[in-house]
Amino acid sequence: MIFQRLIWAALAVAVVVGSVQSGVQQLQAVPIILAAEVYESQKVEAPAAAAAPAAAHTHTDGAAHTHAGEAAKEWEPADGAERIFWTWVANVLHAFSMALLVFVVMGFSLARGSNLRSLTLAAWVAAAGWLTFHFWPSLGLHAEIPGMDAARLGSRQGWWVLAAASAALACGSLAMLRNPWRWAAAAAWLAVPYVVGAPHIATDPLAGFSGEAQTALRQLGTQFIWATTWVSLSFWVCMGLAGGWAFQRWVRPALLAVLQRSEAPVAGAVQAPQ
Amino acid sequence: MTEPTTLAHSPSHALNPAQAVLRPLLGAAVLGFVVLYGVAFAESPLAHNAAHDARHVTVKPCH
Repeated sequence: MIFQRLIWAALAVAVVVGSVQSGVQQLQAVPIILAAEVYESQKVEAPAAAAAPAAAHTHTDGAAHTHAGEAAKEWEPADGAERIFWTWVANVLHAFSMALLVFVVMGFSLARGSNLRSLTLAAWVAAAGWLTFHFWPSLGLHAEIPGMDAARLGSRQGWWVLAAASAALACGSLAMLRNPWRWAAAAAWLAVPYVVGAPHIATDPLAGFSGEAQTALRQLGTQFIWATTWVSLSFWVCMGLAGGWAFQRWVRPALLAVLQRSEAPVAGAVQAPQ
Repeated sequence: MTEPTTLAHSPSHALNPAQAVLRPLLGAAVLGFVVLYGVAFAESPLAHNAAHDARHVTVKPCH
């Protein structure tokens, strides 16, 4: 019963948050992607691309090709309504996964005896979510526009997971430890991915482009970093509001019904609510 | 392992309250990570092409 509640509540939140995100990004981030893809077809093979064949991505295997060229090999949504639809689906699924994790953290706090209001708790968790899933990984691996060369995909994904996990552990240390050293623990966790270092290529990510295209793409790249920052902020503000509301409406009653079924203290509930 | 305590406190339920809350939370967390992997990281070309713009906008390593 609790599990079903979590799923349905997360789905409802995901449709709202994912749709708002789709609207926001359609206005400012997607035009940048589309503009960058126009230049992508002018790309010549960069030295960096040749040096990293393990990336095995179609963007690095040819002298000059477009996304339309890839379509011959693999399905991809047609530009326009189909592409917007699939981006919406992906956004909703992404928001669904984030809403589930937000509810899990909120539910765990409740089980440990937190007496914060749902909206307040959701605001804290959403702030931690933004740090964990956007800010901390993006600080090391900036938002990329199509056409940029980068280090091998697997190594970047691995570093992304490391940065997110470290930020999550930092937030967890601050929330759960009562020791004054928790700030030091959080700082140490946050430092881990940057001590390891984000994987970057030695050459210019835009080396495959010449003159005018390179200048334009560099500008688009900077714009895209800001566009994604605003998307992520609006996403997590929406997540905090919608998540807090849905948790209060559907999840909290179900959790409390079980938690209060017995007077026995819940394992881990060291800090009883005042 | 906690069977005796459970039975002593709430004979009508198989799980004690902590377990009854933590298990679905754990299940939801696993599902959340699986969906996140599929949307943001799966290297299948289908998943990549469908979620391409979403991956770029949510700043996931994409290409």
